[in-house]
Order: sequence, then structure tokens, then C-alpha cells
Amino acid sequence: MQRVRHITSSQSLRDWLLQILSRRETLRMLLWKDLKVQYGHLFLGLFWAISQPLAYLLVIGTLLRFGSTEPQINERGHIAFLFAGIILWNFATSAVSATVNNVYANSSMISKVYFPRFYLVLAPVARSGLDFLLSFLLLILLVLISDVDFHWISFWQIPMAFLLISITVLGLAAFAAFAVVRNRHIRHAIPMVMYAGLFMFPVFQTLQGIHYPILSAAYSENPIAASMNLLRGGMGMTDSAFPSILGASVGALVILFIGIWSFRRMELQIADRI
Amino acid sequence: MNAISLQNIGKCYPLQSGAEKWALRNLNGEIPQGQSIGIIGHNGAGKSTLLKLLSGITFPTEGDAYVRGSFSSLLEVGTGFHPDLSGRENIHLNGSIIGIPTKEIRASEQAIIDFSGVGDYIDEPLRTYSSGMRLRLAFAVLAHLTTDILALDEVLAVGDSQFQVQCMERIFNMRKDGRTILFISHNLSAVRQLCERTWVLNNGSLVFDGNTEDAIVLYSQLNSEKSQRFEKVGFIEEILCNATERTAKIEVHISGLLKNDPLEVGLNIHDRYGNALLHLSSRFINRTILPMNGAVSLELNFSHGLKPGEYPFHIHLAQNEETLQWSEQVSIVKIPPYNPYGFHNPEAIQSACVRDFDIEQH
Repeated sequence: MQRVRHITSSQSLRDWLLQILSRRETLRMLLWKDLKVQYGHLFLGLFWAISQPLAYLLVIGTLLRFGSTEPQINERGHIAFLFAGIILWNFATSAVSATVNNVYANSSMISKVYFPRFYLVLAPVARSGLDFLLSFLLLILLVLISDVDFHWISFWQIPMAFLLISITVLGLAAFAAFAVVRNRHIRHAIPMVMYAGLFMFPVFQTLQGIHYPILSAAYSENPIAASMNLLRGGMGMTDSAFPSILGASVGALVILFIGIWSFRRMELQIADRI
Repeated sequence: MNAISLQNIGKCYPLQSGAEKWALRNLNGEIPQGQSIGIIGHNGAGKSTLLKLLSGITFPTEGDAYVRGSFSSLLEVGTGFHPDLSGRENIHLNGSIIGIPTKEIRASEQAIIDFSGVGDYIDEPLRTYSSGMRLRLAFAVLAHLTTDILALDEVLAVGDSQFQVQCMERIFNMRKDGRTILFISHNLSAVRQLCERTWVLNNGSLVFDGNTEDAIVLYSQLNSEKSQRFEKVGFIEEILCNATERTAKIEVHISGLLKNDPLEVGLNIHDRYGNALLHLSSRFINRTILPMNGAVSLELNFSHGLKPGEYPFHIHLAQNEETLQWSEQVSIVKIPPYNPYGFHNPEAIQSACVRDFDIEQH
């Protein structure tokens, strides 16, 4: 029995999800292409994946070493602490930028062939996620050589941090794709906004170290700040877990919902607008 | 049973001025399973929009369409190819993007390589391929699609004649296999060979649905009407044609060009089936055209051997080796009725006459 496809001016959420699932081989190939191009030369690929967060660590670590007299934990532990914040922030930045670039780089494909458009978000987010995991391996190494007080009881915070950041980044990337298709000039503003995040998020300090009530309140529902704190807590760099995991989880789901809702609205017109 | 059913389907594009442009409106029609149907019309008639709607690339503004079975559309050859991947890897990537399941690609891999004729180059990066090799590889992937309905949009407009023959043979085989084919082309000769039924679209409406020969006659009439009311196309402000039985003069007024950069002009003159007959290019005669103040008026005079009739032509404009404009069927050369050879039936003159030749008797 052949399936009959009904084409009309809208697409139900069920059909949208079914399409994403049924063409997953295409997603796998798009991801494979990106990885093959990046990691074709394994060592060079690995180097590029970890070189960016390492470069940030070098610059920021040097600045803080000479600019601050009160390291929050011991010297080597402080490097691991900084690196944990940098790799999470870098994951968000690179995934959003890669998604925006991906939409533009594939504009010809979008207007000439059908494939589930959400793959334009999923593929770069997954690739950036892999780079993040490679950087995370380096973080483990830094933790092992530091005098960090690791407790297995806090380990659960690490997968929780991964989950929170992944949901948030997917939502942000979907929203960024929506925004640049609606108005292509936004593309130029996105890197600026993302790099501002380096100073907006608690990359350099613990949440407990923030003494401004407004900033502290803003961070309390912020899933990126929460994932930074959870990752550091899970690896024994800070003492306490995040005060409001529920609030941050709700925040992540709200971002994901807004991202997907916006993307689906734009998806109906993407081939006409791109 | 119908493979495709359209009910008042329409697509509207909002313009930046705030106005709306209906690319398709109130389109109704049915295509039975296993039928090959041609879709012809001018540029902007709505042909590609229709295929994009049916394939899910874009969504209709109004109306409904029902598609029974798997559907693939080929609006471009080689979509998604990556220059850094090898030919073999690109087979898998491109196949996956156009919707061929991985298992099928794997099973057909050797057949695709054989069909493409790329041979030992298959494991070399695509960037080392010539444009012809890329094209052959891309079509080889397409040729192994096993979807129930296949929509082809001008896929034969590229490649050399040998490649085009190879493609046509493959498309005929697909038709023999009982697949439903939607064939969009300005090559009316190919449409006539492949399709027993043809739709003519004009300004977003279906103006004819029936026998292919009748569709081609109507399309030629629409072409003729269009050529009599020439409107500015891209850089071309005006075209005037004047032809006698032996010579023709085409005047082209062009503006908006880069000042003092050499302009290259080419004309392709076709018969009504889209077969190319004559090709004129400033490159052939090493003529340098320098547009002073960004505008230029050209007069192309040439002798021809065309028999009486109407011949649409395409224009190509380029500066600094970059194409500025490629416009199909911008106007028509009309060769007046004549019978200088004293044939009883002037229609017996086939295509172009060669007058400048000799016969020696031994």
C-alpha cells in the first residue's frame, strides 16, 4: 500500500517529527561529511577542535593571573575551573555560529532539494557537541593533575550539566537559524552577542562569588550558568550544587521550545527567503 | 489510480514593495500512475514552483495536493556535492541528500561508478574532477533513484550531447519501468520524445492539458506573442529583429554595465523544439565591445540558411569572465516565407540550408 502525502499550507508537528525520524540517514551523512572534512587528517582535526578553548584559556588565564590576587582555588585547580567554563561557553558559541553558517552555506541545497530542514541545526550542533566532548577529555586530564577534591557523590552533576547545555544550545541554534533567515543582517550581530557571553556568563568566577543581587537572580534561572556550575561541582571544583536546578531546567526547556517553535514557523518559508 | 492530484493549488510570494506575486494560482489536475507528463512554459510561468511544492521544498499558499508513493525531484544535478570528498564518498552523500536509502546506494555503488564513466578517479577528491566528470557522476546517482515518481527540471540543459543522449536513454528506461515522470524542459524535442501528455503553464496558470504536439504549438504561439511585446529583461533594454530570407539583423540595447570593461555577447538561436541551430558570439570574431558610460547598442548582422519560420533565441552577457545575464527565449527571429529553390513544398526544406558549398563532378 503506497503512502499518500497530503501537501497543504502547513505541516503538523507529528508529520514534522516523522520526517525528521524517517530521513535520519541523511542527518547521519551530513554529520559524517562535516566530521570527514574536519577530521580527515585526524591530528589536525583534533588540534582544531581543542585549540580554540585552549587559546582562550591561555589568554584569560594569563590575564586573571596577573589581574587577580585571590585565586578561588589552588593554581592548577583554577586552570581546570576556567577551562570548564570556557568549553561550555565555547560549545554554545561554536554551535550557534556553525548553524548560522550552515544555513547560508547550504542555501542552494535548501532551494533545490527536500530534506528535513531541522538537520541544518542538528548537524552543526552535533558536530560542535563532539568538539566539546574532546575538550572535556582534556578537562578530565587537567582535573587529574590538579589537587581537586573529587567526590563520586557529586558525579551526577556532570551528565546533568551535559543535558542542560545540549538542550539550551539546540534551542539557541534553532532560534539563531530562524533569526538569520528572517533578517540576514542579524548574521553579523550573532558572533558579537555570543562573544559577549564570555563576560555575561560566570566563566571566570563561581556563582557564589557574584555579589550583585540582580545578576545573581538572572543567573539562578540561566541554564548555561547552571551547567557551568554543575560541571564544576561534579568535578569537585566548587563545593555546592546549583541552587535552582529546577529553574534552570525549565529555562532550558523554554529556550528549546521557543527555538523549535520559531524554526518551524520559518521553515515553511525558508526556501522562499534564503 | 492517480499518482498526483492537485486541487486549487497556489503559491504566492510577498514582494519587498509589500505587493504579492502569485507564481501559481488555482492549479487543478491529475496525473495517473505510470504516465510521463511534460510541463512547459516561459521562464516564470510557475513550472519550477510546482515541482518545489510537490517535493516539499516549499509550501503552497492555498489549495491541496496529494502525492501517492515516493517522490523525488531533481531541480539541480549534483546538489550537496563536496569538493574535498572523493567521488565515491560523494555518491553516498548526494544519494542520501536526494533521499536514496543507504542500503540502495551501497548496492548500486558499482553500477553508478560504471554509468558515470569516472573510472579510476572515483577515489580522488571531487575538486580534481573536470566539470563534465562531476556532471556525469551526479547524473549517475540520479539515474539510480528508485522512487515511484520522478520530477526532472531541466536536467538535460547541461552536459555535452553524448551525455544528454545517455541521460535520455536512462529516463526512457525509467518510463518503461512504469514510473511516473514529470519532465520540465525548454528542449521541446525531448518533451515530444518522452511525454505523451503535456501541460502548458503561463503566468502561473494551467492554460493547456493534453496532447504534446498541440501543447508545443500553443507554447510557440505564446512565445510569438511574448516576443512582440518585449519588456526590459535584466541589462537588456530593447531588442529589435529584422530578417530576410538570407540575412538577419538583431539590434540589442544594453545598459547598467560596468564602464569600459569588455563585454562579451552570445546568441543561441533555436527551433521551436529547443534544438540549437546557430550560435553567435563576440568571442568567435575576437570583437572587443567597450561599453562607454555603462551602456551599449549593438547590431548583429549575419547571413543564415534558416527556412521560413520563427526562431526563439537566448542571450548571454558576460564581463570580466563572469556571466551577467543568461536569458532564455528573450525574443524571436522571424524568417519570412520564401521559396527560392522552387520546391513544390517549401516545408520540405529541412532545418538550415547551407548555401556556401561546392559540388564537383568526377
